[in-house]
Amino acid sequence: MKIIDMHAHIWVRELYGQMHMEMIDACHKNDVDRLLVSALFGGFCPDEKDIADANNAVIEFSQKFPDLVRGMIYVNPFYDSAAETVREYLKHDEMVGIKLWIATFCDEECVNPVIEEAIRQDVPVLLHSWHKSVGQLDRESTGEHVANIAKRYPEAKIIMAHLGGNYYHGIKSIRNLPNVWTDISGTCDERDAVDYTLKNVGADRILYGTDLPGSIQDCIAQVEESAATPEEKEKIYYKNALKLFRRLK
Amino acid sequence: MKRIDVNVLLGHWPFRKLYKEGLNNMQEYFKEESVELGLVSSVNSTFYNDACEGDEELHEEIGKNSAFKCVMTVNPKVPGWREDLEYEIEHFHICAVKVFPCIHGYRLEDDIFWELVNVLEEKHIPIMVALRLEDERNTYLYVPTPLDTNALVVFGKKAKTPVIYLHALTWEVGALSEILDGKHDCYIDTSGLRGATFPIEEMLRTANIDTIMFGTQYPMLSEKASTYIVDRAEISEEDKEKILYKNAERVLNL
Repeated sequence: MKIIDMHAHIWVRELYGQMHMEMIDACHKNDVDRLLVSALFGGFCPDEKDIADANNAVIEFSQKFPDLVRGMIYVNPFYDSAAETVREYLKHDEMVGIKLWIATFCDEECVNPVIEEAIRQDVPVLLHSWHKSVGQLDRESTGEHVANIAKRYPEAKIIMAHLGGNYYHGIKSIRNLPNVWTDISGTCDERDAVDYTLKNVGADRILYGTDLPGSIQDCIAQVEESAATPEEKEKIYYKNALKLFRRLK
Repeated sequence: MKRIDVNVLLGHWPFRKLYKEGLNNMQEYFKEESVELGLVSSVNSTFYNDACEGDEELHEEIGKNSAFKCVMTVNPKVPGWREDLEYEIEHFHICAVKVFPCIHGYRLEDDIFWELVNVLEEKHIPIMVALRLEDERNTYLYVPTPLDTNALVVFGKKAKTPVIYLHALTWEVGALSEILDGKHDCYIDTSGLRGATFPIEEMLRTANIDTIMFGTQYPMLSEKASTYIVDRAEISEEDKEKILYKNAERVLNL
């Protein structure tokens, strides 16, 4: 089975240390064909240098493993340069999408130029999203924030990460928004997350992601034990990603 | 390869629908994954005022099915557990006692808990301590109290009966390495070993192979995740056998 893991990260600047090499090793052992990586340097609110370092690291990593790794451009919408950063890094064929984390809520006004650039360039935007009953981070978006930005820009291709964390909160927020996809990464401790998402969203908008350096196996397990048909599993593992990420082709 | 799942649940979880609830689904899982024996406790018992009534339901449901062994649920804050323990030893042939301090609201150092532990020590009954039943971040209607890892270490050192920590997360296992050395009578199951790229291999850097037991917390958690991390681990077949059933057989006298 072909697998595209569309949600993985580089966390430390030592690119070829144990953590990242284990990621590559795990991809090879679990037949992952493509790994879409963003680098999250600089803490919760990275400055422009952190952003440049992060995106340059991803390009280097992609070039080191050209048969496997592609990049997601990391931006901090707080800076006016964010849309320009997207334009600049999309000149690199390795970059296939955009990643936002928690520098701002994803529906703040300052995010608009990034989304508008994503629409112009026809690339998806992966939005961190996690609703928590304890430990919610400052400016950590939830499914409701994702829904707000998706409604504001119905032509944008939006990905709500982690099924929204608590999928009962996230999935209902976006289930009626056809321009929102969602990935299963980070939801690995509950058995029914994929079935619940299938029931409410359908197989066409679910993506396989792992949040590596997390676990590839956990996420494969969730898909395999779900009620998805073999055709639906193919969509989740790679077909939906191929349709969504135009630059992957 | 044969498996013993030390952590399966029957009954109704009140906070969300479990898509694979019930005995029939459990038996299908056992068949698919070659599980020969499941150590089962009742979810209902966790929430009933009289946990023993939940255990009676459980015993009735599984009957004389040899694929199951009953694990008794005890809330030591509720009176009457001593008599219930005697009753369940005699009638349900329990192989362990499971406690939920995170839900029932007490600490491992509390006297009320140690009264239970002392009785279990006298009777040589292993104790299973559930660290959680689901991710604390995802709960709405009740607020579980996470257990302090230092308290888990202290309890593990002090208890004189086997202690099995259930649903310990990968990072917690690192903090427990001191008591997972094979010298203490402490163990963990695999149900919480998530989110690491190679969790078993990572755990074995600090813990002893004799301290890990295959447990899934089915049907709440992903059974295949526990299956995959063991089956695909780069360890010897002999070590896999220890995790999948030999450690449980030895510690729980199965």
